Amino acid sequence: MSTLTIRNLAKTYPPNVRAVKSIDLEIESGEFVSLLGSSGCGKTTTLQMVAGFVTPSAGQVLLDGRDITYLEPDKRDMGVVFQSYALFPHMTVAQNVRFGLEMRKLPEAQIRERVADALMMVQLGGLDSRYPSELSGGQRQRVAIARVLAIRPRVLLLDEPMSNLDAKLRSEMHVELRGLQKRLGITTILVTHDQVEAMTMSDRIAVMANGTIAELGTPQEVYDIPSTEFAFNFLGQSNTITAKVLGHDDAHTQVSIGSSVIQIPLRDAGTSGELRLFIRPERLTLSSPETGIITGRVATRLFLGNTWTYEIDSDFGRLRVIKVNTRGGQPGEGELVGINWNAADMQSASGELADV
Amino acid sequence: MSDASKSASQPWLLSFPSLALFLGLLVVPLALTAILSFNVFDSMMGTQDDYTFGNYLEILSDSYYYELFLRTALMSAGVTLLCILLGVPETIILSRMQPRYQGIFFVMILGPLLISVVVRTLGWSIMLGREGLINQSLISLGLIEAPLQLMYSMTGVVIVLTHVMLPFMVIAVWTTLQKLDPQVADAARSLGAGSWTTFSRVILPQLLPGILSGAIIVFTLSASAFATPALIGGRRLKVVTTSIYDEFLHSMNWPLGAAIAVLLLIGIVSVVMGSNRYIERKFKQVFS
Amino acid sequence: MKDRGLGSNGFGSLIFHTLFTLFIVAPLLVIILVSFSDKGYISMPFEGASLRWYWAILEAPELMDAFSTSIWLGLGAATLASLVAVPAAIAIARYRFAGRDGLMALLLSPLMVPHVVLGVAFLRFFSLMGWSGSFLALMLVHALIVVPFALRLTLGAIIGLSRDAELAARSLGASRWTAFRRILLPLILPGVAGGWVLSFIQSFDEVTMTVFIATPGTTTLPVALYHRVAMLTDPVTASVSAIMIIGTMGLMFILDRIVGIDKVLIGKK
Repeated sequence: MSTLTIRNLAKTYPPNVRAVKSIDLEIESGEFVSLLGSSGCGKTTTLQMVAGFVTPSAGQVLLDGRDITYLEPDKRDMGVVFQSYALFPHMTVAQNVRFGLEMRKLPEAQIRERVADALMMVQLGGLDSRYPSELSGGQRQRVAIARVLAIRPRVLLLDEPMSNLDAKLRSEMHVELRGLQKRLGITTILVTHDQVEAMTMSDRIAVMANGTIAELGTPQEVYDIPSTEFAFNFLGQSNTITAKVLGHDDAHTQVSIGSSVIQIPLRDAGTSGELRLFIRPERLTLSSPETGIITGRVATRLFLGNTWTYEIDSDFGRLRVIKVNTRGGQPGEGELVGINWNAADMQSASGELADV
Repeated sequence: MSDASKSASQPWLLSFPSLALFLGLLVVPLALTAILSFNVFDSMMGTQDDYTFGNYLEILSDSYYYELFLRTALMSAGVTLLCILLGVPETIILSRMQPRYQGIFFVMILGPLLISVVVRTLGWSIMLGREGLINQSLISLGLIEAPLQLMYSMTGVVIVLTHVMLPFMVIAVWTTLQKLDPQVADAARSLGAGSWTTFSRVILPQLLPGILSGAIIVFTLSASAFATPALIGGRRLKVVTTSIYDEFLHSMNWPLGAAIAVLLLIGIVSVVMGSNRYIERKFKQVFS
Repeated sequence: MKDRGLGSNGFGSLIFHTLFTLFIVAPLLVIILVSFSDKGYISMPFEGASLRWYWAILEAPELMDAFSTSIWLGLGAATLASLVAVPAAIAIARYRFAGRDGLMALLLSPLMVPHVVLGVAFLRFFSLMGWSGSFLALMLVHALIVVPFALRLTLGAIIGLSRDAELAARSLGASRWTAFRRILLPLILPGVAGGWVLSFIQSFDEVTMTVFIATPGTTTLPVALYHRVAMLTDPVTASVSAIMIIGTMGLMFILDRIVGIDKVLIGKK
């Protein structure tokens, strides 16, 4: 399979809208990488430059070492699955799937075989002669996938392909599509704004903001040890705590927060000044007031079924705590509680998000 | 990069055929006509190669042409007024109908747009004659004693032009009506406005841009109409377009005809541009 | 039923509506009635109906010639207008480029320039170029004045269409031309066909401009009818007009099948 290299890729629209500022990304053969970000972060433009739909203003796209930056889209051998599915409404399912094969001028027998294979792969056998308008949303998406798999693309590009499906179907498709991708070993880029989708499917996630990659790593890395304040807040939830640095030794930094003084496992935070610390709500636990590192009073609590979300006023400011809904008593509003955490879960952002 | 320059030239490549057609057969002939309007005309020798402002001076200094342009403007204004008075209520009535009837009456009212104006005018000239349907019915109803002179009169021209132009007014008002949010009227009613207040204070102001743009279309098309004033008005009741026709095909004074044509074009373009600017300025904040 | 806060139609509204509709339809109805008269002058067919004035058309060679001129002119002009309007519509709908608004305004300008002015301009132009009496020249300027109609309906079809299907075809290996021929064109075909029919009707109906440049060999039906009516109103003019009314209604029916008559009449939707 193929490796894809993106170097300093940028797109500026006239007069001076910098949709993509500079993207560097190396995607291994068979790897599944997600570009995750909110709308306007440049993820779709990046994908369109890789697909050849948008001409980059600067930088390069290399496929197996060959420069394809300015190659026409029909010469790239990339399979694109669109958010709208982009099925050809005037063609049947089979005609949609065979379109790419006809473009490659394959012999008729081979076309038939590949169309059947592709439809089988997405479990759509028997629907060959239906028109897209006669299919459900989920089936349309499967046709779109079969259409690109049939051409055996060197790279698979998925542009928010699941955003038009309902929640249950979406999570089924996550598993199914990831299974297919692994089995076929296709190098894949997924563009999505859905964190869960990116987490469940990807080998690596590139979190994008302001036209650059803010964070790159495995799903666990970008969630557990992000390096930017942006990622702390964008992925999942975080409590942000402002601390005053008092001093440090070889392994720890001593900080004061409110009236408490605590040690955090951080070396190079300087000897004075302010420090912003982050801790995720599910890493905070509640106990009786006596056994907590700090204490706080429950301001509100929300019931979400499998979890409770607490807002607690404490010495550290208002903290959000997520607690699994177990049997037994849950602290009520107005109650005094103790709050605990593992020292390692209180982190600071080491990197700054480039904002240029 | 080759690709970048290709995508920049692509739209021009695609529009080249139409551009060639329009530059060669619209821009050039119009320019030639503008030049023609400055040529000297000699009643014995015809159009000369010398240039003069004479044609324009003749038009501007002769009260005959003042009356001609004034008559055309008044005729167009009358048609526009009638189209507003008849077209706006009818469009509102249409919009209240059930879709089934709406479709039928839509085709009946707008369909004549696609039928040649000569045919429609012929129908009217049959009805407007001294022994025509209209005079006969008015006499048999006892409303008049002697037949009215409708053919070869301004009244007749205005009636027939109103018939020709009404569909444009209906279309313009209908398009605006479709954009109205029905909940806005409900909101007005729930705030205590009666149905007349709701119409005059809430609905009508929203229809105004549509009525105005319909009025511009009707006014300019009436001022440029030829077949109807020529056939209903006859040879003596001249408007701008019919006098251009006479200069070109009867008097053969092409430079003078061209000058009148240029003035008509300037008049129409300035009415359209001026009122578009007015509409934009007045309604931009509300309807952007 | 969509209530736009305008209430419902009362008795007064219905009377107004009936009179209005009568006003619109009456002249056309009168023509059709008169065309069936058996008298030698304009009269209603109530005292004797016949088809004699339809047979009389066959014996008026100038009307028959004009009819065939109009048909060929309409076919040629509509086809040429569609051929130049489709690529222009793609350029306007699919690209952002300097001069786009200007191009659009230029291509729609025949709607604003009075046809009398166009007639004068073409008369002058043709006489300078020695094109007077040329059918081809007449067809070219007819194509020019119907381009706005072809352009508007084609644009309407393209603008509502997502680009994704074309991009998908491109990434599946289709060249620009193949993507146009196999994806875009079939999808916008109703708009293009509707634009063609509307262009045909507009060319067939045009009189004001054509009356300036038509020569004895290139007289169109509306021009021939105009000249005849200007001299005398006889039952033949009614039977020719009746045929034009029926023919237009037939084309309207076709238009309704292809794109929906409301789209054609209202312009955009």
